[in-house]
Amino acid sequence: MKLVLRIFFMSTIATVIFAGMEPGQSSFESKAWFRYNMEMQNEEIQSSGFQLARGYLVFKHQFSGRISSKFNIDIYSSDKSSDAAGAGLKIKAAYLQYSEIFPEANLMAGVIKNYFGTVYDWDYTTVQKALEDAEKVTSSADAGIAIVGYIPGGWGEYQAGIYNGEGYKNYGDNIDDHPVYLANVRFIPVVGLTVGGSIRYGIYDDPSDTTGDPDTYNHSEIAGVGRYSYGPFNIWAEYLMANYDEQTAGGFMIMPCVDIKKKFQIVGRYDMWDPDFEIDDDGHNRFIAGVNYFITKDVKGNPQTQIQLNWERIQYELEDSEPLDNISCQFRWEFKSNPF
Amino acid sequence: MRTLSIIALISIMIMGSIIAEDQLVITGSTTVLPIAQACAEEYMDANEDADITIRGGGSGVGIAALIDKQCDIANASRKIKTKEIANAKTKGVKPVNHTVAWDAIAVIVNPVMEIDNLSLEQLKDIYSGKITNWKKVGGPNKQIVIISRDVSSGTFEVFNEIVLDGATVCQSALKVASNQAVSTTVKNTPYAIGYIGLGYLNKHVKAIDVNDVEASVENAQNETYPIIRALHMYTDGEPRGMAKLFLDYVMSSDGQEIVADMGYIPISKSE
Repeated sequence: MKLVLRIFFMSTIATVIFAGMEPGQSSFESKAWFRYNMEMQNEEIQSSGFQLARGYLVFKHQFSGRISSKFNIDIYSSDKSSDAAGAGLKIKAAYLQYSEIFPEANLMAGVIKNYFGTVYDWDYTTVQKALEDAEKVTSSADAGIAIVGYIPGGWGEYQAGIYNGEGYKNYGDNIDDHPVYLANVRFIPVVGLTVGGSIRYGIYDDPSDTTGDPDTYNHSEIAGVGRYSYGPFNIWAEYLMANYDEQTAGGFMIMPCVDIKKKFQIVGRYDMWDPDFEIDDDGHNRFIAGVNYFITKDVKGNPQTQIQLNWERIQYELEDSEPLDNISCQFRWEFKSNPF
Repeated sequence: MRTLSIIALISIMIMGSIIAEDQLVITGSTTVLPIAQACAEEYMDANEDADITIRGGGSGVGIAALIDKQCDIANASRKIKTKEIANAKTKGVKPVNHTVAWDAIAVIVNPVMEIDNLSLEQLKDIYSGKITNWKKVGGPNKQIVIISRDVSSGTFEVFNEIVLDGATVCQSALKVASNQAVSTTVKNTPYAIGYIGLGYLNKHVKAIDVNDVEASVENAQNETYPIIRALHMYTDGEPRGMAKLFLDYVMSSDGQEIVADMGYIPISKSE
């Protein structure tokens, strides 16, 4: 009887939380990352300290069976003098979604994900951001409109959108008159193997031209993505190239990881980045080794509380430059309310 | 030497996570849960070494748990979505469907009503509040009393998907917690309409035809009755080990007898 009651009780709670929202209902979520970071170079500590690296407050609302919204702000520790009381604020998501605008596709409008490369589904297996985010090629979100769809039969996904292009932190005077256009596709030809690519294209104003009618230049970014997953093994790879007028930057990332007993995850990562192909020795390599420990997971298997330990070394190409080491210990936790 | 030891230890731990454990974990739909639970109890009685854990949470929870390799079998009262298939395949999981039962929803009215049939469109209009008087559908000049279920109900899921099809249940609907409560309320309310699992039909309420098809086990099995859905158990690839043994039991005559006892429709003998 006790077993029956426990199953019923747990099932009821989980069903209420994960049943989805009815029209007129809302829900609240929170995610927080508390991080210790120590940066060392030339055997000297450059920085050391705790911070709230991320503090997401997410509010969702279901207007009807097909129309929903999401609003996500990020409150985090900040050392910028412009941020009050040591706290920064970002709008990470603020959009309306119309589901099934045509079969297996949704329309999203607002501050939405940048569907490029690996940045849009990066789940921070490493403390470090996705390659394009870490090297500031694209941000993780931007204001725009996108179609987000799935290929029937689960053969993959696609997205196409138009955005401001300057990222979610820039608006008004900080953006130019030219939007960027983005397309992304991923195919899953066999179970476990994902291949895909993204392209992003736009025009930007010459920042050095202060006349009222500045010269413009084209810019484009492309990414090739591959992933292979088998049992507890998982490996991601990404090739990234960015063209800004006469400057070309590029690099790649490879990240293998292995799950152990559903509680631990060992991850490695290697990035190579060259910010300008025409300049010698301006690039760097990034090495990351880390362990993730999942303290608790929800009934879907998503981590609720976890600890991440990462060691990262950035090795600069410039001769005689000292590598930069970064050791991080991060606690992550998240929770969701019942729909109300 | 130390490096080799560490590599060996990690390899052993990895292999331990690959090798199938003795325990079978089943997660998902609360509609399928009674079938899984009853079958599991009988199976464990007959197989002392079997250790089966069953959790609810809903079809989405079960499928997500299967994708994240947190369970061996995902119970689902709906088909897996395209997005979920893509997500599964990305993570190296191949969802394979096993239909274990059918769930049919009978539309019931109080026995005093002389209504014998309603179309799906009429049902939708009634439940969404477009039609509020029985005379609009050939009945008496009386206000329709609408009985429905809350959103966490699997029975409501079927009704919502097939009948309402995007429409919202009107605010005036009375929401009750169980099939039994629907049946009792309709029995005691002369101009009420409700919906219940086929297994909960009784002599105190009157089941009406939908689209001129009678709500019956036969019409559910041959899929002519419109308000039906398959109940699924999904596995990662073809089942093996204890998952296969358990699924074989569910699909056996003993297992299907349990399905019928739980108020669901067994898979027809021809399948």
